[in-house]
Amino acid sequence: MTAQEATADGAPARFETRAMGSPLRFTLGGGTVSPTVADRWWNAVVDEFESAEAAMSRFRDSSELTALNRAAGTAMSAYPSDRLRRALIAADRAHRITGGRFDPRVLADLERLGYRGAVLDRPGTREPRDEGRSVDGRVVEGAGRGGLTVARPIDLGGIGKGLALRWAAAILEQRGARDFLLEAGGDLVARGRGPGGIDWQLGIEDPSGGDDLAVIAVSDLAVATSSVRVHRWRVGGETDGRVVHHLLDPRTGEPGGGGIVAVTVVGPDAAWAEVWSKVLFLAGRDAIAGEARARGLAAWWITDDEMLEMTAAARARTIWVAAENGPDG
Amino acid sequence: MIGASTALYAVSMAGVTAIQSSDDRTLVTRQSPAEAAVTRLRDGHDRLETAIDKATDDYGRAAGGYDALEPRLSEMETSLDQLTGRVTTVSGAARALPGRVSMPAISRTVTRTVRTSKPKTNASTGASGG
Repeated sequence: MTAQEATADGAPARFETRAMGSPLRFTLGGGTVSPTVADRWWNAVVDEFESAEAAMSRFRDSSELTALNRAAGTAMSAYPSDRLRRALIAADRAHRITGGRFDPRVLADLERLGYRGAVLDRPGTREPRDEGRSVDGRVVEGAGRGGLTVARPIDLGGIGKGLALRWAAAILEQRGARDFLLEAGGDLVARGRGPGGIDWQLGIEDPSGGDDLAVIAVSDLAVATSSVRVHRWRVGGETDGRVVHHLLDPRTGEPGGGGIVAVTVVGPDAAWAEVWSKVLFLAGRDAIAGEARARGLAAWWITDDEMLEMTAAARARTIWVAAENGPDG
Repeated sequence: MIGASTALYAVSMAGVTAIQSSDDRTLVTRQSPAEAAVTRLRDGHDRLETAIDKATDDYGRAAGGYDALEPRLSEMETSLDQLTGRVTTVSGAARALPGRVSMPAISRTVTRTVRTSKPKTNASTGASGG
């Protein structure tokens, strides 16, 4: 179900629904757009996300990705849609560029830890990950040709949402939208200016559930956050078990990012912002600053003792910090 | 008689000898200051000669140092000439510069300032799936 908030009082037009397991929101910024055009743009966004979910969701039994994962480890070639093919190519490229620290082939470990999606009915795909080949090899073979194969099941959760944002934003721009904010869960694409003709002002959420820890100003950029606030659960029993989360280190198959609870990255592209936020998260508290600064990333991170830290590039985009001013300003 | 004469002669000779001895002592006594003065004069002359020798040596060393310095002074003069040429060139370039430089316009809108009160936000970034 979609809804458009009031626009008669001058408030920005805003649309909202759910897609890919998260809230999907579309907000129009500066400039005047007729309600008919705004509705048309919003419908295009919803259609794109529906198509992306049909191609890339690991939670849908009928998705293309679920079918591909069921054939993982076999010689059976798949002929996926253009969306899934592009997503696999993007994931493979991210895997190579990050030196294996981003690896979508962690699905077996996620399921071993209890974070299950659609049932993969091939027993071979449910076996524990092989330690020796965790970050080696290509994510997908034959992606540039007709049929392709994957050796192990794929999770396109984070990068898939970033790609859906990238594609939806491109569609909006092709249709003439200039000033808009597109949100999918914790990830956003900000184009042009927000209401009042100023940069879009975005809060960095407190992972412990309080008010925003900082406010940043962005224009023509994407924002992605990797956080363990929502996807965290206990395994091994209520009393003697341990708390795990969904951000797995592909080198160990276990939850990574020691000492970090959330990482936000701003960059030109939503999918890459998502990739870097995850890679930085897995770097952990001791290495994240050096990793972020070495790559020149605008990154904010929150430690497990609730400290907000950021790079110099991030500081340049930060217009308010709660710890420096108090929660009430 | 002969004996008396001899005795008288001997006494006379003794007297003469005594008188001569007394005169010699007087003469020696008179001449002593002059000898001391001559000795002082000779010593002073020796010291003056030594000082002149030393001054001669010093002059010789100074002259040698100047000889060694002269080529360097020539090089320095050459360097100064070259520097003068460059200063002339720079001065000409400086005269060619415009007297006023127009600065680019600066935007009066600054949006990156960290504020003391929390600004209104359009959205938040955080955990997905919420």
